[in-house]
Parts: sequence; C-alpha cells; structure tokens
Amino acid sequence: MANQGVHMPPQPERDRESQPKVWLTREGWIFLVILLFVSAGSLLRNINLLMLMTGIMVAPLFLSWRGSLLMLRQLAARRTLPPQLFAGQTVQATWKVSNGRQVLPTWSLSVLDQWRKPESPRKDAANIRAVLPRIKPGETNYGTYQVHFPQRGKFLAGPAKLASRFPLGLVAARIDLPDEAVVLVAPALGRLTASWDRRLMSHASGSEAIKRRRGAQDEEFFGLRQYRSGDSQRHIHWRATARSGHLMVKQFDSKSDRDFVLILDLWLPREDGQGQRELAERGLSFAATVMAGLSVVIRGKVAMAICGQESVVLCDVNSPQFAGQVWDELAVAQPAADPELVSALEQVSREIAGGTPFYVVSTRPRPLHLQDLASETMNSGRLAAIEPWIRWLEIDSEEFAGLFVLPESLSPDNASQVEL
Amino acid sequence: MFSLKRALELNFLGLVYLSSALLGFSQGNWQLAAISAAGGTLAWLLVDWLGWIQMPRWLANLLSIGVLVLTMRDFFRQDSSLQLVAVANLLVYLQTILLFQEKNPRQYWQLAVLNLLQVVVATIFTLQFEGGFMFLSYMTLAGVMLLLINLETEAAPSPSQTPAGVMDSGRSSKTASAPIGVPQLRFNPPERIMQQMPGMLGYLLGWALISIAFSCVLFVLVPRNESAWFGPKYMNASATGISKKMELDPRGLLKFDTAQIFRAQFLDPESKEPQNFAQPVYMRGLSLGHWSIENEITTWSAPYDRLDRFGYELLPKVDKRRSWLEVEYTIEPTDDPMLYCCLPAFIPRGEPDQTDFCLELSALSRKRDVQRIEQSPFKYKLWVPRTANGELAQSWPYISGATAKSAQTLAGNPNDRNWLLMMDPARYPRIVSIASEISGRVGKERPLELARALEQHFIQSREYLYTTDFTRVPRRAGIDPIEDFVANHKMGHCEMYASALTLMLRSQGIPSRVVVGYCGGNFNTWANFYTFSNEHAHAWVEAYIPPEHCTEEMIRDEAAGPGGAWLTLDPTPPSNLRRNANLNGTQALDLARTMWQEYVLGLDASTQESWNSSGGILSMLRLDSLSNSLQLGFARVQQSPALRLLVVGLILLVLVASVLLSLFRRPKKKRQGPRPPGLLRRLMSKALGMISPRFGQWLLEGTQNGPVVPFYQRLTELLAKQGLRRQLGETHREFLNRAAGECQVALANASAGPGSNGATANTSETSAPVADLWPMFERAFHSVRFGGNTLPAGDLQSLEQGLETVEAKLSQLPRESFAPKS
Repeated sequence: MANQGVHMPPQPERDRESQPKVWLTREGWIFLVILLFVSAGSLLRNINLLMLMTGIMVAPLFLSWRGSLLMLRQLAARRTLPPQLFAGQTVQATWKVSNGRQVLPTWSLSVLDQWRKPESPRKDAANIRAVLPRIKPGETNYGTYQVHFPQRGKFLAGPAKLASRFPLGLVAARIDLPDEAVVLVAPALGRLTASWDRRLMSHASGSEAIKRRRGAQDEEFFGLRQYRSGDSQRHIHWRATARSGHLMVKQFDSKSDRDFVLILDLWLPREDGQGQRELAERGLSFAATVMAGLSVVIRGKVAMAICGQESVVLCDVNSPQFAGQVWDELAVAQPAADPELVSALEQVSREIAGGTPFYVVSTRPRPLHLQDLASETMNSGRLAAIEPWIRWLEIDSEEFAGLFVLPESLSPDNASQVEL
Repeated sequence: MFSLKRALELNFLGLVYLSSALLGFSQGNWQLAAISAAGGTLAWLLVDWLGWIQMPRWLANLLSIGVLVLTMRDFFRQDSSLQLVAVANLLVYLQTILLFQEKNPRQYWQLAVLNLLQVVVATIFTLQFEGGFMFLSYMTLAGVMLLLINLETEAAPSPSQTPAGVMDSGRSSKTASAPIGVPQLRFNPPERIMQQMPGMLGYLLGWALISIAFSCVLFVLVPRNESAWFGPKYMNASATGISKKMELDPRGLLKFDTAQIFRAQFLDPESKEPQNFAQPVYMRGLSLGHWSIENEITTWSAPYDRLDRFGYELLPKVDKRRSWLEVEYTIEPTDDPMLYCCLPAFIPRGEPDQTDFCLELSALSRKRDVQRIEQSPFKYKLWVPRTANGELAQSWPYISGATAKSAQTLAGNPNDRNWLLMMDPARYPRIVSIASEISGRVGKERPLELARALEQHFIQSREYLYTTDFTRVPRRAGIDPIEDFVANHKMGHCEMYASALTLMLRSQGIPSRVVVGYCGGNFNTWANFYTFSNEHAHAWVEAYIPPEHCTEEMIRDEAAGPGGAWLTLDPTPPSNLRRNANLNGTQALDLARTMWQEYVLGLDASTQESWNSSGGILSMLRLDSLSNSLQLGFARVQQSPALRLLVVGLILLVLVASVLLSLFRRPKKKRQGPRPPGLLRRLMSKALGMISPRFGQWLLEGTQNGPVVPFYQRLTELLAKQGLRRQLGETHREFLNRAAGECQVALANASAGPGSNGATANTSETSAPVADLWPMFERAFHSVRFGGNTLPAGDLQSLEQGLETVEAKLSQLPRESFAPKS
C-alpha cells in the first residue's frame, strides 16, 4: 500500500544511488574563519599559544566531518503511516531507523521529510523534521511528527533526507532518499444519524431487498488479507507472501448476505460551481462514512459507483480491502459537468441482484425521469427496470441533512484552519 | 537533571568565568575580568534564572554601537599593547550586553565567538602555566558548549523553508500564500535528550583526547621562527645601567614573595649532567661601594654620579674547559637590564654577545645598545670555574675599573681605593673597636685572614640573631642604626650584617663594598636547576685582597688574578639563609611552569632543532623569510593606495565569485553505475584469482561488511554453472535484473527450439514462474545482506521453493548457456 512509505536500502546500493553529501554549516564557516585568523596570527607572529589553539580547533573540524558521515553509515530508514488516512485527521508519521553497526551508536539523527500535492512544485512543499536522539548499535529507534490533512486527495510524501550534524554542528552530512510515496487521503468521516442507521438496518434485514445467494459451497475464496494469529497455515498464500513480504492468507466468503449500492453523482455546473463543489465534498464524505460503517451491517456485495470526471464502478463483497479501494477512489474523485450516471447505474445493475435499493447521492435534484439523463442509445428498458429502486438523495436537501452530519471543523471551508 | 537550556546557560557561564580569568592572568589587570564575570553572573541570575529582565533587541543594538564607538576611540590612541586592551574591552562589553537578551542557539553562537576572541586576545598577551591549564580547560568546555548548542538547535523546531502549511509551533498557517489542502505538519520535540548526555560526553571525551594528541603533534611539527612571541609589550631599557641604594634603617616587618626572578642550571660541559652544591650559590647583582650618611642613616649606593663614565666590556671569551661548569641562566621578563651571575664568569666562545660587564659596578647587564626589551624570558650562558673540591670559587679576580686591566692592582688606583675605604670611624666606635680588637689578634698585615676573622665574628658569635621583624627590635635614638645593631641589640638582617662587616673591614684598611644579589636559591630536584625569588635576595661583602696575599689555591682556581681578588664574605649566620629545598609539590609546580615557558610559550626554531635529528629539515622550512616577506608586502600595501585598491578589489572579486558559484553551481552528475573497486583490491583479486577464481571474486565483493546470504550464494552458484556471473562493478540488483532478462530469453529460446511446437503459450508457461521469482530474491537478499534482518520461516520456504524452480528450469538449458560467446 502506498501509505507504507519509502524504504531505504542500506549500503552499498544506497551508496550508488545517493552518496552522502557533506557541507560546512553556517556555524562551521564561522568556525573556519576564526580558525584561519588564529592560524595566520600564529604563523606570522610565532605565537605558540595560538598555534596550540589552531591544533585544538582543527581536530574538531576534521572529526566533525568524519563523525557526521559515520552517523549515517549502515542505517536503514522507513516511513510508516496508518494504513488508512482520512481528511481532518491528525496522524503520527513514524520514521523507523535501524542502526546496522555493531559498535557505534548513531546520535542526534534528523529525518527531513516533505509533503506536497503532486501538482505543486517542490518549492511549495511542507517540510518537517523528526529527530532521533540516539540509536544504539544493532537496534531500531523511531522518530515521529504529526500530520494533519485538511482535505482529501493525493499527496506525495518525500523525498526525505537523513541528516546529522553530530556532535558539534560544524559539519553536516546528509543522505537523500529520493523515493516519493503516494499517499491517498480519503474524505473526512462524519457522523451518520439514526435515520440512516434505521434505513440501513431495514435494508439489511431484507425488507427492501432480495437476499442474495451465492455459490454452491458455503465458503468460497474471494480475496487475500494479512495473516492473523489463529489463521490456519493451510490458507497461507505463498506467492502473495513472497511478493508482499508479509504473510497473506486466503479469505473466504460467509453465507448469504444483503447487497448494498451507493452511487455518487458528482455533478458540477459548467459555470462557477463552488457551492456544488462543497456539496460534492459532503457527498464524498458521506460515502466514505458509509463505507466505514458497512462492515458491521452488510456482508454481501457492495457496489460503489463514483460518477465524476472519471466514472468508477467498484463492486465486490464487502471486506476491508474493498473498503480501502473505495476510499482510495473517493480520495481522488473529482466532480464534472457531465458525469456518466446512467451508464454507472446500468453497470451496477448487472452486478447486483435485483431488488436492491440504489442509493444515489447527488449534488443536483432528482430529475422527474431518469431517462432525461439517458442518451438515445441507452437501454431504456434496463433503466426503467431499476428506476423504481433508485433512492435519490440530494445532498443539499433536508433529507440528506437528516442522514449525515459533518463536524463543522471538517467542513471544506474550515479545513485549512484546524489547529493541531 | 538539568534541562538542555539550563545546561547551556551554566556551561556558558563557566566559559565567561574562564575567559575572564584568562584575560586577568594575561594582562595582569583584573578589573576587566571582574566586569566580565560580574556581568555574566548578573545576566544569568536576572535573565535566565529569574526571568526578570530581557533587554529588547533595539536597545542592545544601540548599546553595542555606543560601546563600539567608545572603545574604537581608545583604540586609535594607544600603542599596540593598549590597542589589544581596547579590543578586549570591546569584546567583554559586547558580550555582557548580549547576555542580557533572551538567548536562542544563534545568539549563543554569537556569544561563543565573542568569548573565544577574548581568549585569543589573552593568548596574544601570553599565559603562564596556570593560565595555560585554564586555557586547556576552556577549550574543553567550549567543545561541550558547541555540543549543547547543536543539541538545542536539533531539539527546537526549525523555521519552515516554505510557507506551505508547516506549523512547527503548533499554530495554524493562515498565510494567504499557503496552498489550500497542503498537509499541516507539527514537529515533535525529541524526548529525554538530556539523558543521552552522558553517552555523548563520553563520545566527546574520546574525541577531545584525539584532538589534544593531534594538536600536540601539529604544535611540535609546525616550523617556527627564531624567536617566540611572549607578548605585545616592550620596555625601554635604561641605557645608563643600574642605580641601587640601600638605606639601613629597617622598620616594621619585611616580607618576601616567592615569584621567580630567575633560574640557573649548572651543567657539566661534557656529560651535561646537572650539578648541585653543598655551599650556597652567590648570584651577584651589583656592588654598592659608595658609603654616605643621609638623614643620619648609613646608606650604601652605586656611584651613579659617575655612571656615564663607566666602562662596559664583554666578559672574557674562553674555550671549553673540562673542569669548569656551564651555567644556563633564564631571567623572567623584567624592565631592569641588570643580570645575575656567579663570578668569576666567562663567555663560552661561539655564544652570541648578549651581555656587557660594568667594571666599576662589577655588574652584568644586557647589551647597552638594546633600547627595547621584549617581555620575554632572557637566556644567557656563562662559564664558571670549579675549585678542586668541586665547589664554586669564593673569590674572583680584580680588574681595574679605571683601566680595565687585569694586572693593575687597586693600589695603582688610589681614587678607587680611597673610595672603597671611605667611612667615619667616629660614627661607629663599637664597630671600630671590635674590628681593632680582632685585627690585633690576627694582624693587619694579613688581610685575607683578617677578613675571614672579622666575618667569623658575626657567624660564630651566639649573640647575633637574624630577624626581618623589626617591630620588636629595641632601637636607641641618636645612634647610627648599624652601630646600634653591633653595639646593642644585635638583631638584624643580611644588609645590616653586610654593612657592619664592610665598615669593620674599612676601618682596618681593607677596601671593601657591599654586594646585593641572590643567594642560595631552591634546587629543584625534578628539573635540576636553582630557582631564585625575592625571598633569596641577599647582601654580602666583597673585600679586596692584594695579589701578594692571594693563596695559590685561589690563583689555581682562577679565583684571583694578577691584580688581586675580590673575596666573598658573608657575615649573615648561615642557618638563616633561605635556601632550603622546598616541598615536592612546589618543585613539581616550578618544573611545570618552566616546561610550559620553555616548550610551549618559548618553543622556537633552535629548540626544535635540538629535539630531533630531523631538525635540519625543519630548519630548512623555517618561516622567517616567508613571514618577513609577508610583513614587507603588508607594509607596502599600507603605503600605496593603488595596491590597497587592488587588494580590496581582488578580495571582493573572490567573494562575489564564490557566491555566484555556490548559487549557480550545476548539480554534480550522478555517477553512472557503481563505484568500481580500488586498484589495489583489483590487483589482489587478479593475483589470487590465478590460484582460485572463487577467492578472487570473493575478494572483490565478499570483503565488504555484512553477513553471507546462503540462498543468494546458491543462486549465484546455479547461475555461474550457466556462465552467468556478476561483472566487475555490477551491483547485485543489476546482476539479478540481468539474470532475469537472460533467463527469460534463454528459456524462451529453449522452449521454441527444435523439439518444441513453438507455441507462445508454452513460452509464457515456461518463463513466467521464474520471472516472478527474481524480485523476491532481490528483496530478500537486500533485507538480509544490508538490512541485517532475519527472514521468517515462511519466506525461507518460499525462497527454497523458488530456488528449486530456478534450478529445475536452468537444468533444462545446456551448460554455460549464458557464457559470453567468443
């Protein structure tokens, strides 16, 4: 997953890709100037004490150079973030640094990290530093900083640098970790009201849908997940394990479950639609919140369609992996003037059992007839078949407001002003 | 435990104290040191600890400008040493002003620079041993200071380089320039950083020892000029010699300090073995032959009214003689040109002419044509004869002051003789009476014996006491103090004894004079030299013995000449001479001070040459000519405006070029490919490879740090069987990628060979499973080899299965399928 951050392989591959850079700090330059002044005076005037001072000042400069380089040798660094990020959250980014040396600890190591949006230039990136006071030889230590995402979207974490100025701050050394990690931040989670819970419960109990039966066997393989204590070793998927570096097990379906459909219609007028954008964000947050709560109620198939600049239809049995996929898509979805709602509806209808309500969350009012949205080539029969099952939720309506509440601090206009 | 901030404050306070002490020691003026120390203490109390005061920046800048103006005004008025004092004042005042501001790591750096410059000024003024010890302590503490500043810098959130949503201080970024949606970041200060201090200090201590060792090596090896620098001060030497006076009416308690005046080392000329004597050593200063009465007090003085007519000559130069001793004198910095020595004394042939001898005063002094005396120890070497029993002579040959001829007796110089017999017998009836009584027993015709008998009168009599405390001496009014001393209380110090004896001798017609100098000294058994301080100041008597009365022994020992001899007489009771050896601790300290002065402050080219056989090489590298050229060049630049302009222009050009280069420097092209092994390693690998290719290959790649990775070894062996080996300079990743590609092609070709159907489906089935394995091998290898990780059992199993797959696939290929075709 992208949110696992960058791994820095240690020497010698690291040497080839990123040689340590060494430079005199500002303090080092001042020190050097004084040293030159003192040494010149000692040589010209034969002032022995100044010569002694020169020697005492030269050695730390030299040893600072070697020391700062030494601090960076045989280090392995890796950034980790929580597996799933949501807007409005403050999370802790952790840099795990391992010291591969057998004897010498690493003192006062700084990890310089950077965050930006892909479309922003590097000079506009936000910079932060995590400091690790000491890493014992052969051990691992952690440096952290806090990250707050005011809005959803795609972000780039990195490139990062490992730097050290130990011990005297006269010479600094740095190793660049050029990899950039793509971090997807899902929309902010809000709170679903009791009204929605009642709707969902009634949906799950079958009053509104036909229960779906699937497969002849009680259990069918449908996905992979990470190994958990208690899992049978027979279910370990070795190839996936070798690929990912973690033990992966096959996941099996349970018995018959209800299906669920949520379609996001992110319509945006061609003129300035700032208000519509905010509605679209609320809709995305609603969808993300719904996905977070679905695992408790729905174990059947879940269909999520996002109709915006790109039309994305995701349909699978509800699982944490599926939820992750949905959140990733929600993170990058953008509204559009002509979302392909009808084709999304048709596609979903092919995947989902009949009789399942289609919750359409839209930034616009429901048209009188859906066919008004359809082109002439559309299968109006199919559309007509599902039209009775469509439950239209206009985001800017009282009905929607009664179903979902987004905390004010997380509203889009307040997103950038949150205090950490 | 202290916080980091507190540790920084206290450390800097320690630096302030040390630098103040160094300034005080070096200049001898403690006023500035007191201001510095008091200012630092007050600032710490009021600003750092109590937090009552915090000087605003504008006020601090204003005060700094004012201080700068005032001190620079003094700077342009004074001579070089006082200019340095002005600079020291400026540094101390600026430091004190800065201390009253709230301090961040940057300001601590500024303070550290000011503080260090104070120490630089102190070293220019020179530091004796105690100061040197503090100097080393200062440098150690300064190293800790740098460490603390660095930690403070690291532990504090750094200012953002861009305005893009960084909230290091926890405040949200609401700048209009911040792009919306950029993540907001908050710095987490490192925890328990002070708990790491002991370890860091231990680390720093190791480096400090290496630094000291390095600096000692550098200090010893750097070539020196002929003379070392001891300070910016110069003293005007008196061109007319010395004028001293002794007024014999001591009152109160006389005190003597132990500050070293000079030291002397007696060496055997051949073995260079230091010599020590059973008899006290008399270091002659000058003779006070002029008797007078001033304010009813007996006064002895040098005949200063005739100073301009005195003759100065070199001591005689002689070749080395086996029975004599070489004496090395070192006199501490003083503005008095007078020197001290045992007489008789001669100058070794080949030694530079540094001294002159005043015949009338019988006093040694620096060369009379030297107008300025540097504030540095002065060294000179002389030869002295030894008596048959190995002791120093108790007399020395008379040389006429008027004619400078050694053969002329005092009798041939009646003016001098009369002058040396001058006294008023009526003023000293008891003195005369005692002298006459003794003279009656010994006989006036035997001046040598008579002189010794008169000397013994004071030494052997149990009535005379030595004292320097005249508060309890019962004085009688209306009588000369010397007469009173001899006739009545019989308590006095060396000057009174010497005066009394001189008067006695003169009363009996023996020309004599009082001599002042130093006697006894402390013999430092560690360093094998005599040290003389004020507590060894002494007065004794010299009596003239005509040549016919000089003994053969005196003549043989060169203690008497054709013109006669000056016999050394010391009537002061010997038990009261302060010449006992002092404690071991004091001796050790004296030795340390001497070593510091000789080999640290005073290290020059001649000392370096004497140290080792490569001194000849060092002497070739002397910087005399270079420093002289530099000084000449500097003087020329100062005189010529055009040259000044040129120099300034060049400096500006260099600065601008440096700035432009640093701004517009192209990033270095990344090296393509891995760094190849060094030449030596390659040669060794080739040589060993002739015996064992495997070992040769291992030398290229296997001598790096890191554990052996068994599965990777097996893989490389499998590939090597097919002729696929890692190339010189190829990384493991590149090798595996290449192996993956070549395997795919080879396997595809094998399946599309004569025996196959040529279906592409078969090709993909053959190569796809193997193609999946290479990334797995690569990740696992790096994880173990460089990450130091241990693979879990599941991974090992997967790798094992993968290796079996590879082996099976490769076995289908002919051997050496991948070997380069010739």
